[in-house]
Amino acid sequence: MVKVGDKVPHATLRTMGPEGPKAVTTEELFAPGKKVVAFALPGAFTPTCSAKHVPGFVTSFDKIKAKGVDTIACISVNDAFVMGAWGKDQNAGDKVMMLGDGGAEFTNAMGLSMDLTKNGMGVRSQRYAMIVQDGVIKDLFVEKPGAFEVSSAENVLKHL
Amino acid sequence: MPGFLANIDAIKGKGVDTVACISVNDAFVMGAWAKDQKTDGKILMLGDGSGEFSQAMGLTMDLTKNGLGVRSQRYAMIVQDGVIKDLFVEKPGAFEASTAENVLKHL
Repeated sequence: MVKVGDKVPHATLRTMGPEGPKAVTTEELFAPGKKVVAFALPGAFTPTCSAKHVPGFVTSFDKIKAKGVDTIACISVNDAFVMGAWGKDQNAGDKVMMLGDGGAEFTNAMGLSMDLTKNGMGVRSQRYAMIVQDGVIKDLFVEKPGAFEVSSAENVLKHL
Repeated sequence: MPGFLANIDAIKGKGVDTVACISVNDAFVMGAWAKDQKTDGKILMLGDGSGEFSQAMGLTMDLTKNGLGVRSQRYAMIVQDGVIKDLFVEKPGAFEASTAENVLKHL
């Protein structure tokens, strides 16, 4: 698992653009000079993620931006089509960038996957949030299984 | 999906008990997609989130490089008493054999 002080590993994520899925590399997302809040969760359209995790960041958008954050990104092991539909459903708009890690390339590189194969969900991401400055992880808040505390928008805000 | 929805009455008229849609997505995504497509309970939306069914069928394809992971190929089948009577597997990128229209012809 990555730790504070590490560079975010290389991976290609995908966002839903007007003309279909668009590749976004971690080097672009976490470019030098950029301050980024990224949060990851087990799955689009799942209860905690839809009811609490994403809405928290959408609601706190102004406060987070006011702390000098350039981008707020949501990452899940779902494809860009699902992330695009979920973003619409959640009214994420331009506030939260919805990024699919459909092949779990990013999640595996971060060392933050969990195996939900027995639950019919395959390999997914653990729930966490991180603050990244110049491509380097400044804070990393990984939830205990089933918990939703440290990776919330409220807690991230306290550390910005 | 819209093809099977539009032809649901014709298909049911051939004595079909269940029309099921299967994809390597979880049940949450399949449920949300059902809402989006207004399937209204007419099509059973089934998630094969871990690919267990698709692998057992031997009908997966690896879209990892496209950020989609291991998915199902596109196909349709007619199953009677648990036995596959017809199997229509599409060539990569095609959408012909597995359409509701083609399935109807074989019912």
